[in-house]
Amino acid sequence: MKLLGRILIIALAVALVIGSLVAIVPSSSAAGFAGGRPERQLTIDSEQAAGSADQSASTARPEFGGRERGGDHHEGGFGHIIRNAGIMALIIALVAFGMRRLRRRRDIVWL
Amino acid sequence: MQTATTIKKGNRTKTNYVVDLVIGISFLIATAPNATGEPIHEWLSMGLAVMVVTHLLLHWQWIVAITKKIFRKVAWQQRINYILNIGLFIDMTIIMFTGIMISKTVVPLLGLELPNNMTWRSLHGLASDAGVFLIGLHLALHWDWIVRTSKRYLIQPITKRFHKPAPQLATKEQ
Repeated sequence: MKLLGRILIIALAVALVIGSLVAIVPSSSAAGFAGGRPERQLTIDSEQAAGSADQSASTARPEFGGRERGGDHHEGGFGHIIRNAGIMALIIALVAFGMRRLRRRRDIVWL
Repeated sequence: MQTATTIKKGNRTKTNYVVDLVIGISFLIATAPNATGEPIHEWLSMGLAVMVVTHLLLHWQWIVAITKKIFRKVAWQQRINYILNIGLFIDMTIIMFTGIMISKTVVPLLGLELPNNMTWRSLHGLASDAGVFLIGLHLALHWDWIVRTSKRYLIQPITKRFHKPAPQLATKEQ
């Protein structure tokens, strides 16, 4: 019962965030920029694939087949994992060790 | 002799550590859907959502305690940690929600069809990038605990396995 109550509180908090997000995001843009910009093309037609020599249709890079062109946010594969791990390591090094140093100096009491 | 409370606390720490380790590794893998493929990315993220809820439930007492006294006298480190955690919760919720909105595997499997739109996709990317920074900060604030617990539950068992103690010589009991 206690656990259910806690899960319910988390679910309510999640609903609050989602509700705010949906309220903030304009409905026109949520419908795929229906008000102004056209929907971006996510896949290529067979005619386009035959006519273009870009990497989307290239058999050498099958991972790009059918994906949007011009820089998918998630491009990079395993390189992305290493990049993100690197960013995290940098933040940890700066913050954790910086805080430890400050604590040793005792200049900042609240740390 | 170990008391029951100490054993319980030790088990709790171990559970926390395992859950956190799984969340950390899963998050890093989930940030590269091109490497894993969309289905693995989506199912892994679903599991990650469950693990995040478990993480929150395991730290429920801390959440309640700090929420009660956030506007009273509380250490600044705890206050920063609390604010950061709220940010992380909002960010994670946005990642999960926008992920569901652009889902190509999990949502269609449930028989639902959502309209294709770029806003959710770009928000998903932005939120996951922000998530990398926020999780980095979250780890940094708990770095001492991570190092301590890693030594206890990860490094020590491995080193113990490789450095088995030499068998004790039989004492002369005559």
